[in-house]
Amino acid sequence: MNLAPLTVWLLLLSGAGAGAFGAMLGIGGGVLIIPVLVLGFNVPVHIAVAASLVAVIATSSAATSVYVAKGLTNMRLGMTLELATTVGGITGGILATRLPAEALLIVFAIFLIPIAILLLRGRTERGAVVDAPAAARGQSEETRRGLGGVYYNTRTDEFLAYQTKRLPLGMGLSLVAGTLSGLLGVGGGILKVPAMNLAMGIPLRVAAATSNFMIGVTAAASLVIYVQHGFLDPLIAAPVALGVTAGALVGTAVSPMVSSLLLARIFGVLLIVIAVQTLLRALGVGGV
Amino acid sequence: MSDQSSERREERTVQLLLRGGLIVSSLLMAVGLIWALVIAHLRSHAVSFRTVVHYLATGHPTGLMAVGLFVLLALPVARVIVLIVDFSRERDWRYAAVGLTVLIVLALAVFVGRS
Repeated sequence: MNLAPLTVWLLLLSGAGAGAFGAMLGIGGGVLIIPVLVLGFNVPVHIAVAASLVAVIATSSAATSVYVAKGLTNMRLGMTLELATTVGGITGGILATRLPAEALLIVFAIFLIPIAILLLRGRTERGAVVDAPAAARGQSEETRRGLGGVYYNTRTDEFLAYQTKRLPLGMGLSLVAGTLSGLLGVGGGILKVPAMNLAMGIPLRVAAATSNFMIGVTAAASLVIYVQHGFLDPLIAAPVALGVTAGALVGTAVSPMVSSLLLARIFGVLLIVIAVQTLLRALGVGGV
Repeated sequence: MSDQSSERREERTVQLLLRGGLIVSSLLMAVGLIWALVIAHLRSHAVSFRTVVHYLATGHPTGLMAVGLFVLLALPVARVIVLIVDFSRERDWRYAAVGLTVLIVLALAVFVGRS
């Protein structure tokens, strides 16, 4: 396939948009990149997924380098959950290489719907703030074991302490998130952030930062499999990765100034539109 | 157990690694991309860990972009290694072991992924 120079520039721009949005929501941006590449640029699905995994790693690295400095990332918790996400990433990668493109698109579209609904119901803000003074005084066993933490909330201008609950459930959900990540080229953050927030009681901003930290390793595990199956196309992946890196840096910088509730709603609507489009494509309606 | 200062050091190391790696990989990809645009070689190819050597040897912009992509791919792996070293220095063996296990899983991907 020969690309027009304009296409390369458009790939860069699309990556930038997806990167900015993805970083603000604590996801890899893959949820946007796959449909843009497949629906907008007619890129074969597996090649789009590989490019998206590259973008996920770029987003993760860019966002983590910012979040880590702010003390938002819980690296010990992240590493622990990575045990599950990387195993999932490999499983998903292998599954994807055995599935036809249409099947992948259908799974992708189905995956978007419940997430869109969850986001639209605005549940992401709930449980984001714990009883900080009590948690800080308590310094529970788990906090001392390194899975809890304290972070500084720039919006409310206060230090908030939190603990980690239900680690086994969190690990299980991380395994599912990792598998979906490898299968669909998404960061899986969209699943991990609510999982950490709702199931494990991690504040939303810490969950987003820690998810961003984890998705890079998860995507790397899957990407290795895509590369070995000949799905990494530099002319597609490089401009997307460059755009995403720039977008992610901007998105991370403006993230504290943006209401995550409003963002979640906007993203929820977008996801429904994307899901319908993707499903139509998979079923062969509306060309190719 | 980690105190405030060791936590800060870990954070600093990870930040430097990721930032530096991103700059290097972005530069490689950007130069490769500009090169491809300038010589109007915009034919897309898939690359593997093996064919990248061929593209580099034949002076192909795809090779340079691929190296940039592989540097990016290596970043999360390097981040795991850096944290294993940091946790070990703090004698936080529990999390050093967690990191080591993640590294082993990543190594498994290379073997399992062969078609």
